Amino acid sequence: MSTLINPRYVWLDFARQLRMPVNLFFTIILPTVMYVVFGVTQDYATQATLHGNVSAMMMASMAVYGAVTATSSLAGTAALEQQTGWRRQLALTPYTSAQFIAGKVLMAMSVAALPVTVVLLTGAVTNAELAAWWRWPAIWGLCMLGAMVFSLYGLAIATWFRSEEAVGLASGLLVVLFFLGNGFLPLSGLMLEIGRFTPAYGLIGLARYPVLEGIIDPDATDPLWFLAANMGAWALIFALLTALGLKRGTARQ
Amino acid sequence: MTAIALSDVVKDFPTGDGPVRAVDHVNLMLDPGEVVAFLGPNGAGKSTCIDMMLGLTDPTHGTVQVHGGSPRAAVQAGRIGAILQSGGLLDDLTVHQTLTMIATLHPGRIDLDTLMRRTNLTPLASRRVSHCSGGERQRLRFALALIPDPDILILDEPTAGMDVNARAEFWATTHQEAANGQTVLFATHYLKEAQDFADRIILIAEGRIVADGTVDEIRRLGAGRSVSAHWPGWTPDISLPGVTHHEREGERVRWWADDSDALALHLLTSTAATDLEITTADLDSAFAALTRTTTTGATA
Repeated sequence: MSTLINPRYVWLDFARQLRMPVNLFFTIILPTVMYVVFGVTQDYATQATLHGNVSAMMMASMAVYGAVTATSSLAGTAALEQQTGWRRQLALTPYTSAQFIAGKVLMAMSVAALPVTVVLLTGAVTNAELAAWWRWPAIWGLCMLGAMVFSLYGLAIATWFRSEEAVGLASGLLVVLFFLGNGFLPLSGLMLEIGRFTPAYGLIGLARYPVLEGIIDPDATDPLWFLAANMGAWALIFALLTALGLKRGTARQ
Repeated sequence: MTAIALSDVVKDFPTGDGPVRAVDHVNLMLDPGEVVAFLGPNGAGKSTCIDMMLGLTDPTHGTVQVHGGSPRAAVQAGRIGAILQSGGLLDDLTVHQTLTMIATLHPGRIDLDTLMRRTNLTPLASRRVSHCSGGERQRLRFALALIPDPDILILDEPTAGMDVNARAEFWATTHQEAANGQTVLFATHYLKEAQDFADRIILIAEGRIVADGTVDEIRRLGAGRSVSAHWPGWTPDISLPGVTHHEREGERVRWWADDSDALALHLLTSTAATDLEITTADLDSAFAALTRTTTTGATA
């Protein structure tokens, strides 16, 4: 096939995910609830920030968390497809490895759009505030960009580990990464210095950029180029790991 | 043009103790329309050869060609289909959903309704794969292999784990399909299947081709005819012409010999043997003999 994406196959793959209501529930409802708990209900939520308020910052954090939870669950489905031999079945068709990756990323991003949209809508109808209307779609776009990078994270894990391990590893590791990336509680000192180079840091900083423009605390700001470089570098690393992992894929295991 | 050609193919797998040679200088040619059984014990190298024919893995040395080109090119052109031994299905999809997903990966419109009818899947169309029996899943795999309407069908132990009825049904359907003139290669360790269904048998053991010919030719290559007689007094130090080995069966003794006629003549005219019986070797003993000689290092 000369095109990279097979739209019918990706649509069917996406429809498959919609038929798994339990997964969808956790992907969409969990980040929304977390936003409400950390953002809406707290007193400090309405404190102003550079371009919005604290609630908006939590909203951006939870939206991007929902997005990457969705794409890392890719780890589970892709790993399962490996283990059941579905990938061998696909290898008997014209579908190439490149098309497989592209299709999975697109499908994962389609799923990721759901929690991002729901969290942002929830923020809009509660107490999140942003200085300008365009900052809302800006957050949405940056969350989707992050989702794309972390679908490579999910794929990298999927191609190297067996199914049950893959799901546990991907979600467990994600929580740790999010913590190190300054996504839940504000970090400081050595933890912050280490955290700045972890995969989720750039992701979270970028998602919050329309609200904070990189401000960490009154003394420190992350420049845009640093956040972008962090995400770009990790995207490359995940892509490389995925390519290497796929090479061992179709032979009998 | 040959359908499948393996030329001096070697496949080594790296392991902790050094490379293991799964396929050892195999030469193999299939012409279009042939129905060939690939027979050999577990671990003989059948599945590795099949993986190479499908482009799932590359040979360490030698070349594999399908319709004169690379295996991957044949897969992309939809000219070769395979039934995997097991797995290869997603449990949460229905039969129809599975067929639809794979059909989207092949160019052209594919008539799934006719395909399901041919493979007897129509009543199962909305059943989830996880609720399908082993035989039903195999039928689904068969339908999946037929989607691109391939000229070559490769079946890797297609009836492993099936009961007698399911097996008979499977071969009946396959027979119908092969009547269209497809080239069929099936790997099996069921000798009866090879005998009943194949025109030609390729015997493989320990990565090497041990024999390649029609069912009759293989049978003759094996242990040869045996002669048995009722002779309770016989002992191994009584010499008999051309006997290679023997087996006691109660008061009867069975001898294998290259020239069974000469042995029979001798027994009837010069000895106390009675109640003679001459039997042609069956495929079982031919197979056992050929694979046994490989292990002991002697030439077949």
